[in-house]
Amino acid sequence: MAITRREFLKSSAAAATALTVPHPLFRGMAQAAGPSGAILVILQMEGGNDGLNMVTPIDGPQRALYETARPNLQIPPASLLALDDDPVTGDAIGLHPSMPELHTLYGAGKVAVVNGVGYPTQSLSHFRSEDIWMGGIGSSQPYVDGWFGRFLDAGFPGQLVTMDCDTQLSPIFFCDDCNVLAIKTLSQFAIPDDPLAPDLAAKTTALQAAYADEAASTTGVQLSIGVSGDALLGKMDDYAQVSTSWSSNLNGLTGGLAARLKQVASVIRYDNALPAPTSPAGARFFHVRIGGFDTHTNQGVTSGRQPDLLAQISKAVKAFYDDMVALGVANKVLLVTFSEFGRRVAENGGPTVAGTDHGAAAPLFVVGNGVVAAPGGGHVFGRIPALDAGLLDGGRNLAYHTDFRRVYATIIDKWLNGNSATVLGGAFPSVGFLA
Amino acid sequence: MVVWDEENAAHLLSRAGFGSDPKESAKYAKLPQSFAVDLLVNVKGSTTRGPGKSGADATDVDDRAALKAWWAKRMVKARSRRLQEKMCLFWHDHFASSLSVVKNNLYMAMQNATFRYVGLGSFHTLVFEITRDPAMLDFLDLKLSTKTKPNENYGRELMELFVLGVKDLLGVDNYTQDDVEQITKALTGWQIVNDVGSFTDSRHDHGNKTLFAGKSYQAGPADLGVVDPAGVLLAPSTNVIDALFAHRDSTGALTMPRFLGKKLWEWFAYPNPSTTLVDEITAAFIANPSGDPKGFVIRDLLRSIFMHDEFYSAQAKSSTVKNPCEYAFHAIRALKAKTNGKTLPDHLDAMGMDLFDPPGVNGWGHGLSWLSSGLFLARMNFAQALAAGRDSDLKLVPSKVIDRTSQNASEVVDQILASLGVGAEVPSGARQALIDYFEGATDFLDPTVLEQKVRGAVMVALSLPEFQVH
Repeated sequence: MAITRREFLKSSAAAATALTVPHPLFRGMAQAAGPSGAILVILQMEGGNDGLNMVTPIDGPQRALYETARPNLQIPPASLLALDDDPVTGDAIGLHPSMPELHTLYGAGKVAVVNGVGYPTQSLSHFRSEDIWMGGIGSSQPYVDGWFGRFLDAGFPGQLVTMDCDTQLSPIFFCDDCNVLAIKTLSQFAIPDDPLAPDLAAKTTALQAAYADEAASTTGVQLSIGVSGDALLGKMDDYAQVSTSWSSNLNGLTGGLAARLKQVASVIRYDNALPAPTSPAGARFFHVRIGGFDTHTNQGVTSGRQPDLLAQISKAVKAFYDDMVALGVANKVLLVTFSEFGRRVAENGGPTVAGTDHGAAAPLFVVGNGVVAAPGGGHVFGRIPALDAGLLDGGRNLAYHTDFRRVYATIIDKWLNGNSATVLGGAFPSVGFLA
Repeated sequence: MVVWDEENAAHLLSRAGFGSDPKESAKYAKLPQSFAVDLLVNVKGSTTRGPGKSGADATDVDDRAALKAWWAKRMVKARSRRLQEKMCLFWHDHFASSLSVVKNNLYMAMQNATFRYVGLGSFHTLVFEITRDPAMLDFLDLKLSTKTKPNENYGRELMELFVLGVKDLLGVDNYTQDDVEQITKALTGWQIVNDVGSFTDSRHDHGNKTLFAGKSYQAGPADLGVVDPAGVLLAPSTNVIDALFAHRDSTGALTMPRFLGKKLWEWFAYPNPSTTLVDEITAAFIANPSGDPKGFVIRDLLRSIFMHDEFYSAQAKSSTVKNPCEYAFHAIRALKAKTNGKTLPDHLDAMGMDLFDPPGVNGWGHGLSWLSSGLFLARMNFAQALAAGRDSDLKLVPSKVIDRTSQNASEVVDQILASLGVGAEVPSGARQALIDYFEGATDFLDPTVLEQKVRGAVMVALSLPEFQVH
């Protein structure tokens, strides 16, 4: 990641002052949120998820093609968790057997399965394809900033309404004038002290004064750091109030994703408590990441690398949804998944080590009470791309039929009350999974 | 030629190593610039291998911690070998493999030794050694890639991340998916036998392959590979590493030197150098003045960078965020602190740089990515641990940082800032905040003032923006 990509806690004078003297706009944000105070969680499946083994043909001619391409990596039809039939072929399709919790949510109409998502001239590079997905750009455009960063620039300049639950800030959020906290664990929110010669109050005062001066009197990288330091110290006390000790459905689940979603749920819970906190954390937009999908080898069929990851997602997303219901905020929370690409239709390797190389189109999930049925009924949007040899992308990969920017546009226009044409630099029609 | 003074010497030691204290910078400033640069660049390859046991012990978690601490300590202490260690870190980031995937301390230690041994020599040799490196064979699955079951993982990253880049400096694609499949076939046949990368002829695809078909630098059709069945390098016309190095970009210039030259400039100076500048610093790298049999000697490229006036420009001195190793080790050196290295890996991990465990094959994200909210707080934590260091893990002696006969806080603050090399850069308001922190103290012989205020001021100074950049 080059330094030229614009930064994480990008500066603005407004943000700098907002944190020593509460900025009225920023402080009012959580209270001002009605149905328009929509919350969005972006769940990234990093490495290129094999979508064909996540949403899979159960019968019909496509099933036969699937079995030919994947002698060692085919999910047995009887184990697949049936979804609505493929809206184009009419054949049965199903969810990977390691995702029963998500299947339950699907059955309740809370999950949209969007098939065949991708873009023209697919890049098979992880990094270029991530740039395209995160930048919300066409495959020949250079990455400049993140699609969500541009949304924040347009609607929330200088405001701290976004949290990346990660160590480094995702390029999704790079922007001109937005503020994003990137923090993997809430317990990091504390200024350290010397246990043998404690002096925390004086040090905090010195740091605050120094960062305020740096934010006011320097330029370039030093300015960015000064503003970041200032913003960070300003949020310290608010986030210190956010408790993570409560009876969340995510408690006891293993894996980093559950921990990250617990952090998201804790912030939402704090800000939506009754009575409302006098000093809310203020984050409404979140990014969480689960890695490990680059399964060139040992991908696993019903158990193993990919199935374990899918199981983690299924359990954690369902528990998170249940938390939102319990907190009474489920109507304003939406979660969307994405991965930089799907994987090769034909498997590689032999019986014990089979995996898949980089591919193209793949399905993604949209989860929440806001999800609506497709025009023809059911919650499957678009077909699993054709597996017929002549219809593959470059003769190898699943061809996309739904541009990923249509998914973003649907969310920006129908959920975030934004203007997708401004954010995406062009008009992309709604996929239809939100009303 | 730049004026060779202490400021420029300090800059060289900060970038080509892990920082210096003012005394050391003065020593380098007294040498002619080219002597100072040669002192750093002309380091013989070290055969030091570091901890990392074979067999069952190779996955031992204690050994893993020992390996990380061993390297951290080596970096923080390096004097004559400081550039060698800095380049080990660069290559670790460039040819990224991770312990959490490879799960073998010995393999990672061996890879680290390879970086140390050939990291300043021929890039051709380095690419060959990494191709047959056990950690890499495992990390990018090349050990499983055979003529009947080719696996694209290594072949793709070899072109994309290690040698050419997806696109050239003008944004034109350097290769196609067909090239990925062709090079994948050419690279079949490697596996790990008795902890060594080994070529097995029967696993190699001997069919004809063509790389970069239709281009002036097309290789093949021929049995492209890396070595012949006897383990001897194939003739240049059929060696894939030669084929990659012969690749030309859309302007007709050699692609690899521009790709590597740009990346090294960004590591040592600043982002997005002009193509003209990249061509200037890679001229000797291409010309091979020492007549190295394999050519493309990395030392020649580094010397060109450190002798270039642009390397000492204002932009090169203050626009790049130090990575966690640079930040922490510079702090330790500048403040004449001591460390046994044991707690350094955990600090580096918290600051975002878990040694031997980069986040992916693309290495670490650089620049301001090092200063996300959480990582910034981790730096403050390290700053505090160092400032409060009173035992062998980290030991800072306040009376070594300041002149105890000083009569007022402003003198003491200036001494601390000067040690850190940021005296001229810190704005007056931030300096005043540090002075105010002393709350009127004037007696720096007073142990309470030393133990609380001087240590506290060091923590605040290490948290200032100016010390995060170089």
